[in-house]
Order: sequence, then structure tokens, then C-alpha cells
Amino acid sequence: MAEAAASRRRPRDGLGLRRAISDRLLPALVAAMTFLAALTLAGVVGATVLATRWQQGAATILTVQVPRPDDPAGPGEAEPGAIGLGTSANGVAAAGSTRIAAVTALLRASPAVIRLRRLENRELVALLRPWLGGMAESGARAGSAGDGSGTAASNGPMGADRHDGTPPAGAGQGPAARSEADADAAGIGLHGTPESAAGHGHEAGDLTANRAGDGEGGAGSDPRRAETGDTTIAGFALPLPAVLQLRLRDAHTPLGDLPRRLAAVAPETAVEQNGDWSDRLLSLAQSLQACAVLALLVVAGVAAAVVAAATRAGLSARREAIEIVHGLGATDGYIAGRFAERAGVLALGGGIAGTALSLPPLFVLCRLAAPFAGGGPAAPGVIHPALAPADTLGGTVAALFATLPLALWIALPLLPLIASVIGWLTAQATVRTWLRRLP
Amino acid sequence: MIRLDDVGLRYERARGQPRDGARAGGRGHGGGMRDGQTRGSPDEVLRDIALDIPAGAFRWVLGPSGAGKSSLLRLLHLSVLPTRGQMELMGIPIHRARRAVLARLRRRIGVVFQDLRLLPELSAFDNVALRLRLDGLPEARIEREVGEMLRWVGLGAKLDVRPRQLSGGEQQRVAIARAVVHRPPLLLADEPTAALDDRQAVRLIELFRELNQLGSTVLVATHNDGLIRRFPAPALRMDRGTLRSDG
Repeated sequence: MAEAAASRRRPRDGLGLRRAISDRLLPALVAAMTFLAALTLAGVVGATVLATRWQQGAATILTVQVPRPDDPAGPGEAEPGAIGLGTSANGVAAAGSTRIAAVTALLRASPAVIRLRRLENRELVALLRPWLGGMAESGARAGSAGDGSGTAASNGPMGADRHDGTPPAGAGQGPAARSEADADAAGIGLHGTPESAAGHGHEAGDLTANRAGDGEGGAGSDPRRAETGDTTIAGFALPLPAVLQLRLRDAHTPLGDLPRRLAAVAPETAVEQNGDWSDRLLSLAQSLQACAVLALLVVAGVAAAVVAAATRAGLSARREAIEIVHGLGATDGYIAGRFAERAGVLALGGGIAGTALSLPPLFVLCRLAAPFAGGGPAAPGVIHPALAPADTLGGTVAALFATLPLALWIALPLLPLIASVIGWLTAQATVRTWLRRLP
Repeated sequence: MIRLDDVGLRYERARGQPRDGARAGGRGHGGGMRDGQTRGSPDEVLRDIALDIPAGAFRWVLGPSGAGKSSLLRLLHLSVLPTRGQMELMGIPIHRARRAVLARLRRRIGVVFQDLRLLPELSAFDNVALRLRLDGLPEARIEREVGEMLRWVGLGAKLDVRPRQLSGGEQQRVAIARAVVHRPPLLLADEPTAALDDRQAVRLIELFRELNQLGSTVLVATHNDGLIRRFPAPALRMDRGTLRSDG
């Protein structure tokens, strides 16, 4: 009796919404949609991160390669005020100095250059290692005077003839693409693209390989090579160019006549701006973003269609009850609101479930994408640091939290809410449309 | 209270549906009062109805089966809308009223349908309470008024029983309780005593007269000559979809 009284006290509207809209099928379908949306959202965030990084990092880096850096510099250009990048030091250091010194002085005088750095020998060796292995290191030890002049990713080993005269495997591939050290290194990596490598085919002529010990001047036995600091490969002497890495004030700073001015003091100096390449990558990233947003819209549309179908099925199942309640004076807003409330709650539940299910694959995906987004690799044998044994529970949670980008952590909780809103709105529209058939 | 001028009603047939299974016309079906319906069309279940009933009136609605009594009451309840003519209810022209206004009007009408139209999932209490809940009354007041109403119709011990567990007469009393619990300005009853014994029928009509004396306009369709004689009142006589006499 008490139960009956309690039951009576629970307001009921007779629409029988528990029967009208199943609490299993709709949440399951919405969960699937939310799962897909979460993965797509991760794609959007990932593309955004990459686009931002490429835009802010590589695009502002300029690479200058100076062959035979320690040879005497040329005379430079006579006419003033025509130097690229706003350089005002026309012809400075051109007379009586080395080519690298002249180029450096010219670049330092440019207001568009905010940082200039010459790659050290060990960096060049690291860049060469994927192609030449230990040869590069031993060669550097044997032949380098340690002043750091050497090769860059783009022009490095690919143009050099091997001692047996066969072209090296992977010619045209920039070894710096594997560099993850910092933004500057990333800039070098971009520099080492097939296109850039192709653009430096002329370097092959510079990179003449001399057989060590054949009496014709291996680095280890050639005092001149040692003095000039040319990097050598074990058994060979490779007169590699010096590489200067510049950070520009702006990604789209025009080069103007800089190449010509540099060539005047150091002929055959190559200037490569990464802006064009990074622009292409940026366009690619933006295209990916657009596709991902489109996919999100499609997922949202499918979710709305699912809710609409479920609502229509519920309306058909409860048609008689709805007509009775409508006849008693219930407004369209009341009936639609009851359906929308039910659909919204079920969609919210499905959304929460789908988002939760998406987290494990997202952790793995973000882990795989970490090197491309500037993150470091995990320890060998560990799929992810977050999955490695942690000292404390807090440490594990913190590591898991750090796995996903902040933007994703902000966006993911919104998915269930968005699913709920879609469910609510769709049910409202569906029911209101259906009710138009009643007077 | 009620004014009808040259009103016609035609039930629209669903596609492929026979005439007898026609659905009620409504705005959503392309119905409307100015749709160029031919005057006196044989498809019309109500034809050329002209009617003016003042507030506080009591009317019997009489006529043989199929005369259009139920259709007239459904029309007055706004379960269907006229397909031609002008209709005004409680001072509101129906053809110009928005849907929300129609809903508000329906909440001011008490109705006992011939087929009762109780919600099978709800208890007797909830079926009656639904009307008050739609008005947004507080639960405490609903509990009091619904309990009182159901006790008055003799169902005080069956508040929590569902309709299918009640007899036909008990179900009819639940429907009656639902129709009058909010003391409507307009009360429409289609054969309300059909499943009641004579004593219950008399009690019910006495309740209607009481509501009428309190200001409600009451229209009752019936075949019960005994009740008509016992409670004399003007009658609307229907015959083959037309109104033969008013009062």
C-alpha cells in the first residue's frame, strides 16, 4: 500500500517514454558515433598541432651552405643598398677573409635574421650517420680539425660518390628529417627534402671522394684538409660545405637578392628557405583539418539521423497515448520536451560511454604521433611512458594526462554534451514535425 | 460560449483507406476551414451546422446512431477542425488560433469520450491526475483533489488500479472523473452513462447539472430517454450530419 502511494506520488505523463525510446539501442548507437567523433577530433587536434608547429618552427628557418668555406672570399658587390633581407653591410668582410667569414658577416648584418648558427661537426656527423653509419664518425675523427665545417642534410652524402663508384642508396633523402632535437633541427630536416636535395645536385661535384691511403690526399694524411676542417669519411676526404642555420624574424621574409650577394663573396653558396615547403605542409595540414571537420559534421549528421529514427519509432509506438495526451490539452512543446528530455539523457549516456571507449586508442595514437608533434619517444620496450610502471598512482595518472594534448582534453568532455544537445534538438524537431498532423 | 456558422466537417481518408476507416481531418492533412469544400458535399459527416450556445447552458445532444452526435462533440473538443465555415469557442475564433491557443482551449474543456481513451499504463489516480498535471498544479493539491474525485465516483479503493483491471463501468467513472476534476468551463460527454447502472447514471447527470449550475456549459449526447425525461433541458437534434433543431 505504501509502495502504491509512493508510486502515485511520482508524476507520470502517460507517454510511456521508457517504451517509446529504448534505453539500449539509442545509447549504443550514439556511443559508436561519439567514439568515431573522438577519433576524428583527435585528427583535427593533431593536424592543428602539426600545422602550428610547422608554421612557427620550420618556416622561419633558412639554411645557407657555403662550399669550400675556408677558401678566400670573393670581392663582393660594389653597388650599395641592394642586399637581400635588408642587409646594409654590402661587401663587408669580403676582402681578405674566408668565404664563410664573408657570408657570416653579410648575414649578421641583416635585420631580418634574428639568429645565426653554424652547425657543429658532431651535428653534421649525426645527420650523416643514417646514411654512412660509423664511417661518418670515424671519418670525422680522422679528418676533421674540429672547427665544425661539414655537410648538411640536404646536400650531404647523397651526392657523394662512394668509394666503389656506385651511387649511394637513398640519394635525395634528407637525413635531418629524422632529427627530433629541437625546432632548429626540425628546420634542418625540412631542408633535407627530396626537392631540396634535388636542388643541390651541384654539391655532388664538391663532394669528391678521395681514396684514403692511395697517396692522393686522404683526410688523415692531407695536412691541408686537416687545417681547413673539412669533414672526412673514414678512408675518404670529403670537402663538405659549411652550413649556416638562420632564424628569420618572419616566415615569409623575401630573400630578395641575397643569393646573388652571397654568391658574390662566396660563389656556389646555396640559400634555401623552408617557407615554401612548410607552406605546402601547412596546406596539407589544413586540408586534413578540413576533412576531419567534414567527418565530424557527417558523424553529427548520422547521430541526428539515428536519434530521429529512434524518435519516430517511439512516436509510432506511442501514437495513441500521444493523441490522448494531446487531446487533454498538452502543447506541442510539452510532448516534444518530454521526448527531447529522454533522447538527450540517453544520448548523454551514450556520449559518455563512447568518449570513455575512445581514450585507450587515443592514448596509443597520440603516442605514435608524439615524434611528429615534438614529443620524445618512450623508453625501449615501453609502448608508452604512461603504461610503464609508475612509482605512484598519481604518477601514472599524471603521465596518462600528459599523453593527450590539452586541446583534446578540453574537447573530449564536450563530446557527450554535444551528443546530448544533438539528441535533444533532433527529438524536438522530429516530434514537433510529427505533431503537425494532429489538429 | 459556442458559435458555429455554416460549419462542415469532412474526415480525410488516409491513402488507400476505405471511407469508413477515415481519419479525422486536421490542419496537418491539408484540412482547413477555407479549402473550397463543396457545400453540402456527401463526404461531409457534418454539414451546414449553425449553432449558438451561450455560456452556462445545458444541452442534450440527441439523434440516431450515425447522425453525427459524436462528430459534433469531437469538433467542439477540437479533436478535429472544421473543414469549412466559421467556429468560435469561448470567444476565440478557431480558424485564426495558433496551435498553442488550441491546446490551451482543450485544457478548458472536459470531455468523456465514447471510447473512454484512458491511458492503460497509468493507474486510475494518474489518469485523472494527468489533467491537473498538464495545468501545472502542485502535487499536494493534485493528490487531494483527485482522491476526492475518485472517491466521489466510488473508486476510492481503486486509486492505484490500472484501467484493464477495472470493469467497463469503473473505467467509465474514471473517464468521468478525469473530465470534471478541473471543473471545466465546457463539459462534453458522449454517451457517458452507457456502461453505468441507472443509479450511477442519475448520480452522474446530477453531477453535471451541479457543474452547470456552477457556470459550466454542458453538452451530453445520449440515447437514454429516461434521463432526458428526468432532467429536462433543450436538445440539439442531429440527423444525417445536419442539425435539425437547436433547443
